[in-house]
Amino acid sequence: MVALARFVIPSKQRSAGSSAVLVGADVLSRYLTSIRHYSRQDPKRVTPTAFLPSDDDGTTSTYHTSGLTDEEIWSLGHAHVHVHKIYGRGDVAVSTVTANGLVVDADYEPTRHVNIAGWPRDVDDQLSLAQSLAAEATLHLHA
Amino acid sequence: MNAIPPYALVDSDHGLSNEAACLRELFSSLEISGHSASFCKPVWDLDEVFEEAFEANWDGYGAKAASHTAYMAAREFLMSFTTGESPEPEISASPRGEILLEWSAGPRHVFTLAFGENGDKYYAGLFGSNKRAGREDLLERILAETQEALGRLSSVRHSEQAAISR
Repeated sequence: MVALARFVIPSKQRSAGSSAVLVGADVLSRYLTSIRHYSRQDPKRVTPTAFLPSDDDGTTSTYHTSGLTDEEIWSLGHAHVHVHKIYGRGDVAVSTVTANGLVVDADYEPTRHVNIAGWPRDVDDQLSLAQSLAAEATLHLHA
Repeated sequence: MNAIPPYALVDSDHGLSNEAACLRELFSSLEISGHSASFCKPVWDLDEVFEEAFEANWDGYGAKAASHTAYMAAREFLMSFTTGESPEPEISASPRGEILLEWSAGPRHVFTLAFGENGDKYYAGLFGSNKRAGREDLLERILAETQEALGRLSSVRHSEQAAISR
């Protein structure tokens, strides 16, 4: 597993475009933009679909939300994720992402934006990794 | 049990909506020795998913529109598959336009099928610490893989229910 060093500037002072290095305990939030991104069967949970990478650039777009209040986290989503509704978010630790062989690219473009990269090309392998991320993710539904 | 050929009643009537086709099959099947028509609910879910993901960027993250070929392949699967005691699958679209069918017994016990835009069929299972993933070209093989996976998920559910009732 890649060793990660903490970025020296306090997270709230980082500006857009200034890349950051995260540690394993840092939290990445994936905003859930479809009702299909979480299971409505009990126990409710984030579905693997939510973490599958975009067809555009092969990455999963998330936001670094450690140190933010719940209200700030939702505001961040509404500011940068352009959909008619955010249903919730799936929070996953950086350590979970890297333990599955994926890469955390904290480009901070826009503010606090982090790509999960390094996905394999094959669909079945992507599904398998997405299942592993979803299994460790914490679901937060938006009120 | 008498199997109803998929699309036997649908293909010959292009003016028939999916819902009407389902109802027609439901009533037909009831006349044929009690064939279960429980596939209707998943097929309706599939139609909803296809509608929701009909346009590109439906997820706000740049997703491709759901593939019609994938939709038809998933529909064929649902028409051929009997879940028995297993719950119905949760259906979704992927950012690459695939149609996904998912069964679970909690977050660490999940089985997912993906129907691709070229009719390709993929599966991935997470069974506790065990993983299983691959690609199958034949519908029969993917049906068998699914039955086996649902058996494993069913065992997990029964174990959990037994633990709760103790």
